[in-house]
Amino acid sequence: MKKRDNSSDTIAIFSFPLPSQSNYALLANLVTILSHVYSRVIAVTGDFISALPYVIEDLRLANKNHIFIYDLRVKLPSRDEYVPFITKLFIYIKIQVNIITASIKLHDMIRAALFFIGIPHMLPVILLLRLMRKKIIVY
Amino acid sequence: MKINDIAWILAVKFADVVISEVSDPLYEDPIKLRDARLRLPIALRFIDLDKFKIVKSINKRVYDIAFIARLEPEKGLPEFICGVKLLYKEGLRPRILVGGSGSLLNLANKVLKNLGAKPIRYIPHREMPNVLNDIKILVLPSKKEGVPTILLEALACGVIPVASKVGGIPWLLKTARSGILLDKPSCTSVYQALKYLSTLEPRLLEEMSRRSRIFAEKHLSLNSAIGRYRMLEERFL
Repeated sequence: MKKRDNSSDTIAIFSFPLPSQSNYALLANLVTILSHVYSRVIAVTGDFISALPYVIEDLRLANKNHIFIYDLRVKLPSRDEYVPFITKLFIYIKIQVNIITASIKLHDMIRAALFFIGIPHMLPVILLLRLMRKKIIVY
Repeated sequence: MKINDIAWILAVKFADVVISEVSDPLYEDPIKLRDARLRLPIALRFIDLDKFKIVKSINKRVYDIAFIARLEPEKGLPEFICGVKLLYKEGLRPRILVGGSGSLLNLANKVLKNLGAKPIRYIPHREMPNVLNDIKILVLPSKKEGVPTILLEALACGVIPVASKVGGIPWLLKTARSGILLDKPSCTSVYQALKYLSTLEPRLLEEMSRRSRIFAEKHLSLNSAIGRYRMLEERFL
C-alpha cells in the first residue's frame, strides 16, 4: 500500500463551465465515483453550485465530505441563447484566466488532475500542470 | 485539420493517461488514440441501480418500441420513423413512445400522429425509471455516440436495446448479450431488427431483459466504477 501525504490523496477535476444541466449530471457522476477513491476531490468548474439543485440526486451516493468545489465564477450562456461575439470572447478570456489562476492556487494541494469536458480549451492549464509535474489524466 | 483537433492531439500527447468510456479502440475517436501514452477504457459511468431496476416484467410493459433522445438527425429519428412505418405497412401495430425535443419535433409530431403516438417533449429524470419500466425495446439509431446514458439506464431497467455500431455501444451490447446491434443506422436495419424482435417468444424477450439487468449489475454499479478508478490510481498514477 502506498504511503500518502495530503496532496497525494487529492485529485482535481477540471471542467470548462458547462452549457447544460445534463453535462453537470455527468460531472456529478464522475465526482461521486472519485469521492470514494480519493479523500479530497476538487471540482474546478463554473456555475456548478447553481446547478447543484438539479444534480443533487446524482450526488446521492457520493462521499460528500470528500468533495470540494472551486467555482470559476463564470457562467457559460446556454446553446439556445443569442450572445454577441464580443461577449463570448470576453467570457472565454475570463474562463481561461480564472482556470489558470485556479491551477496555480491548487497545484500544491493536488497530485493528479483529471480533465473532463472542454479539453481542447484547457490546453494551457494542461501544459502548466505538466510543467509542475502533476499527473495528467485526460477523459 | 481544425484548431480544436490540434489542441486535442496536444492534450493527449501531454497526458499521462487517457481514459475512455469506449472499450473497443476500433470505435474510439482516432484523435484520442493518436499519441496517447496509455489509453485505459475504464471511464464507464455508473447508474444508480436502486433507482433504475426492473419493476415490471418485459412482457407486461405498455410500449413495444421507444425512441428517447434529442430529436435531431444525428440521433437517427428519421430512420426510426421510417423503420416503424415499414412495420405498420406490414400490418403490425406496435405501441410507440417518442421522448425528447429538438429541431425535428414538428416532423415527429406530424408523422407520429398518423401512427397513433405523440412525442413527450420532456421527461424529468426522476420519472425515467418508471418510463423505462414501461418500454420493451429502446431504439437508438445514432450516427455518432459515445456511451449514451439513456442506454445504460435502459439496460439497468431490463429494456432490450436496438442501437447503432458506434462509440461504446458495440461493447455494451455484445457484453450484455442483449438487444440488436445495427450495422448501419438505416431505415431497413431498424425495420429488420424490430421485425425480428416482434417474432420472438415472450420467454426469449424475458431472457434478453434479464441479461440486460445482469450486465448492469456487473458493469454499471458504483462499486465496479470505483474499482476501475482504484486500479488506475494504484497501478498507473
